Amino acid sequence: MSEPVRILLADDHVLFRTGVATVLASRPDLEVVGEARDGLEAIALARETMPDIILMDIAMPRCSGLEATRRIKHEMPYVKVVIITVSDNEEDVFEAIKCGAQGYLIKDLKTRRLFDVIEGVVKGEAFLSGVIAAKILQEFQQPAEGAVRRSEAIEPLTGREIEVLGLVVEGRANREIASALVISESTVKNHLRNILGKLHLRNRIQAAVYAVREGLVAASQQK
Amino acid sequence: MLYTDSMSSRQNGESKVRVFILSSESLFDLGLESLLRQEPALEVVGHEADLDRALVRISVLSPDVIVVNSAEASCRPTAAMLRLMNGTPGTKIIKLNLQDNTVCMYREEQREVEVVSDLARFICQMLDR
Repeated sequence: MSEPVRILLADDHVLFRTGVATVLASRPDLEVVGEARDGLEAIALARETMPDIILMDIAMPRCSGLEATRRIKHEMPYVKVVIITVSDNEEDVFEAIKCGAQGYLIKDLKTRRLFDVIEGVVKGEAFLSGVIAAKILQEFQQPAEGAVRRSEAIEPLTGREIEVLGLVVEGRANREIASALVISESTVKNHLRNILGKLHLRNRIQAAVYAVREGLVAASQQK
Repeated sequence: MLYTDSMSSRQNGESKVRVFILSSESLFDLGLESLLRQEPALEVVGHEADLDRALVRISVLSPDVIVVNSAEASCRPTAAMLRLMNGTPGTKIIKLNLQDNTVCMYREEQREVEVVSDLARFICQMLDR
């Protein structure tokens, strides 16, 4: 028989945390190695128990689950973190993914689903709650007329960042952008980092697609 | 297993507090049922996800307390909660939620769970008054 999956629970909701621990204890292939009431306890217990998976709430006192996830993943990247929260806020989802979480689940999930997620995450898979996945897909599939609303939801780009983005769309390399704008290459990189951060995107290709779809390129060229 | 002084009298001759759970069958609800079943002073007599079916079963089972799980943290009764209250006159109702540790005790003062045994204590205190 293989080793049980070692799980750390982090949630300030007493009944949820203890109830989940009781449910997990019914499975011989799972072992709850600790229960944390806030993010700081989660970090300390993660160091102490070296769990395979942490089931982490977001809204906790002293240190949020997102901050705890960020610190734990930085220190112990092999530990898998699955967020379990009541929040279906898209910013929380993106932030959790950026912090390194392997899963994002809403708390009203079925027990069977949690078991499936645990098994999958151990194998290296990633999971989103159905409602979250649907919201993200909807966000990416929105037609151009939805651009204004979405643009309002994110931090606006500066004029310089839009100029950089316009040159990215033209396929210019960082060195060429630096030359065109008479700035250093490292400044271009900083602008790109800020652009990706503000738009919640991963790379310049996604940024270019976004710029074209949102009409940011046209705005840049009209200047 | 959790045990408190307020429950000891119920262990010594008095019958157990009969609890009915009204909630979906989510992870939290099953965990909650497991926790309540571990309490020596309590007896879970039923669990129902649908309000209409719950009202029928409650009228037959006559539980002492109904434990409700709700997405809403606010204690302000929803339409469903008002239906439940009107349909079960005299029965104590406790509402939990997924967002925080607040326990809404209908027809009683509001409380907050700090440790798991608090829930069983609140249930017993409601009936011992």
